[in-house]
Amino acid sequence: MESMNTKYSKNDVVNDYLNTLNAEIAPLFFEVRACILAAGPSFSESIKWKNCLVYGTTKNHIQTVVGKGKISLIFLNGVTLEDQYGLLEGDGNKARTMRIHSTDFNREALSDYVKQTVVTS
Amino acid sequence: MDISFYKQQMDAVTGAFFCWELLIEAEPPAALADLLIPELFFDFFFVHTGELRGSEQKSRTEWILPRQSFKTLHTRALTLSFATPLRLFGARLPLQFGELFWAESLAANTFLAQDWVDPDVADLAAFADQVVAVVNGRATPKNPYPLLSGGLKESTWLSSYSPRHKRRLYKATFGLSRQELQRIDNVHAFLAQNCNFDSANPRLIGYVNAELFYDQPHFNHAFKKMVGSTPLEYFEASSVLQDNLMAVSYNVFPVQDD
Repeated sequence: MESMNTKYSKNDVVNDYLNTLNAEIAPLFFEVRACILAAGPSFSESIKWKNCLVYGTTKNHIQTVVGKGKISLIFLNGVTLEDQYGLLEGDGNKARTMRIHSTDFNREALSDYVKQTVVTS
Repeated sequence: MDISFYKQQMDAVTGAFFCWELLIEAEPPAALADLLIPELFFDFFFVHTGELRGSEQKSRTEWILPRQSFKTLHTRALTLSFATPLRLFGARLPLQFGELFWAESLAANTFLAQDWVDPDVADLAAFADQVVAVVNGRATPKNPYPLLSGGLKESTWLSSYSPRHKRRLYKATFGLSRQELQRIDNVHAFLAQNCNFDSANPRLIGYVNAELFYDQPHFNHAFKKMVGSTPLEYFEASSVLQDNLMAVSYNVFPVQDD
């Protein structure tokens, strides 16, 4: 299920994944995806293992997890990010999670996290 | 870096699971490494543009892959290194292909030089047609009946054979023992799950299949021995080719329970 302005990937496997998203979550998913790719143009998308969409460069940096009515973005090395928006959750050794529930999410914060991730990668 | 991956699903009667094409371009040219881990599939590679180098950490050997090569089953991970631009075609073949491969016996952990396709193959569709013609045209059953009857389930006709004879049959057909095949299958039963590394979610042990691994240390040991890193390190590592092949394989041909 894709929105009208969905930019498809050059990876058939990613496109298969995008096409399987259900109608409830797809609009939010595509908004988040567009924001990440705009802030991190050097990121490539791929499917890791069975169906984890990840964004990475020479390493994977962000894992996307689709939940009920929300998207969780797991910054695999999120502990290094400066969180001036206070939206990152978690107290583990490395990963930090940003949970997004609606399309009016804080794009500025997400862009900032992604840009920091690109710089530190 | 511009990465494209295209796949062409194949009908089961063709003898191949799917064919694919990987294109990587970068300006300025870049060097990349891809970690290939053991899987229960055979692969055919055709390097159209560029060069692939294989290396194994354990044996500290490095070699240049033939332009067309057949990857036998592996018991340990290996690294494929390449520089951009790269245009690579491939075909993924089922485990059962080992029973039809025309070489007399199959050694594990090797790449066999082949001559399956026209070096000037135009596109993925033409590549797939040529692979199917070779796979079907040269198929030569090694045994009177298949050794496996779905997943890793052993065919009933083998029940009267001695364990020693069966070991020989497995080695000649797949290049690996039944135990080694099962070990690979067990690790993939873990990888085929949708693991969530969110810190609020269950830790790794929540994904370890209790029927296949006694406890997490046993799983960690098996995983590290086969892959060379911990599951989390492996998840973070970007392996363009391996990730795509695994994702397609898991979604079209889920790991089968015996």
